[in-house]
Amino acid sequence: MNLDRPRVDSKEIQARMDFNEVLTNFNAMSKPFYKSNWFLGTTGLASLGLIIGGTIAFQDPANEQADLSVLNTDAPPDLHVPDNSIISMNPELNDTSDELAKKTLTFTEYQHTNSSQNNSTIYEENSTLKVNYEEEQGPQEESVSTSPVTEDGVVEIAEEVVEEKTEANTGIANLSPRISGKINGGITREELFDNKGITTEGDVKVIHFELHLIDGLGGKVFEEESNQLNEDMKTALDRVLVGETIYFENIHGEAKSGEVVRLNPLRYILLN
Amino acid sequence: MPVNPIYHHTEDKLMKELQRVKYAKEDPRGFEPLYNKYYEQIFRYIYQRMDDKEMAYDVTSQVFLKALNNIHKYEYRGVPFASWLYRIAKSELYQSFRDKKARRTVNVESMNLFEMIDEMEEDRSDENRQVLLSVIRDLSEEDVQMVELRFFEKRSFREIGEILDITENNAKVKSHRVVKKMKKLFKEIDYEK
Repeated sequence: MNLDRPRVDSKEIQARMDFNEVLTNFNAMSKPFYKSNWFLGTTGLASLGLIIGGTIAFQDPANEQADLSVLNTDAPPDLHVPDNSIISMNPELNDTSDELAKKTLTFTEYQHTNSSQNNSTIYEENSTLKVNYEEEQGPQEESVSTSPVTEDGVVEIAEEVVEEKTEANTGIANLSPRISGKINGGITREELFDNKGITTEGDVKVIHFELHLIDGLGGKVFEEESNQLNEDMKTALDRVLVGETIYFENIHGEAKSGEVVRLNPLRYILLN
Repeated sequence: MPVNPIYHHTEDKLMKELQRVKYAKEDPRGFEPLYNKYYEQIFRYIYQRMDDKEMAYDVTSQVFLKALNNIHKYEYRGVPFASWLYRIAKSELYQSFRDKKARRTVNVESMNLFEMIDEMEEDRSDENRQVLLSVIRDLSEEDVQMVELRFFEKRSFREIGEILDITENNAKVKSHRVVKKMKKLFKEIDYEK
């Protein structure tokens, strides 16, 4: 304990003040820029961006297309999936429904599934087109039976189907409609508006289709009696935003024999 | 009891000071006006509690360096910037005692002692002055701190509260308790004699 210690003079205290020394020490103690938060944050984000960018840039385009196909395997909102029967647009054929039923019965014994084509397979057999949806099939139907059905005629048809089975397998995708060679996934406006329209690789010519555009207020349907997009459709498509889905439904094709058949619907996501 | 006039600011002065703190946050050189303003009172606060003058200068420099390093953490609470500096000073001071760089001393002026004797309603005799010094020696560090702030440095309860990080009322209560304790000790020592 000090009693009456001499008071330090203010001038002496003022003389000892040295802000530059404090500032020098402060600068010496400050973190170097490469240890500062802003530098670490910026470089971290840049590195992350480079990694993601590099991954996207070097991604195999084939895989990308495959991914899109996988992403779009679900059915469009109002897609009507027909049962395992012959779909015929020709009224004359409707009259012989009993006969067709027999053919269908035989045909199910030789069904084939093709998952890459929207889980559906199209066969051509004796000038009658059949659409077989895998979704509709039970596991028992998948077994191949060689035993004839009661009537002779049906047995004969079965034999013909066996003979044409190989041919049918090779032509599975030929009857799938497509635009610019695409059956689903992403599509550009240029590909949509090309002059080829909706085509098939087989001998079926598209004679009717509907374009369904769905917006927030509901949907709009455009019909066309050819395989080409008409002006109304093009105008409507111009207004569709990137990333939205467009549907082509009720696609009717005409085979060489003159028979009109319904083809698989199409669904695309607009890319530009 | 007179109070420390440097500490008490008007609202306008507090706002101007806050503006300076903002400059200092943006640029360390902006800290210079605050350094110039508060250097002397911080030095005196430190030197009041230690023997070594050079060490007091060193600790004062450390206080301002620490303040500059942490200025971005400073939050305005409606009190002068000095209260924040005093808290840093207190922390640095006790750190230097722990590190045994400096020795804790209590510096008393006779004038202040007599004022305290008056407070205890005793005579201003040399004998009583000696008794009072004995009483102060027997106090705890916390109580000595209160005696220094209130009776030797003449700080207001509000300022004491801000330095010790307690409320003004709490500072009042603690101060009265110390005086009461000192009176009791004073009488005990007086009886022994």
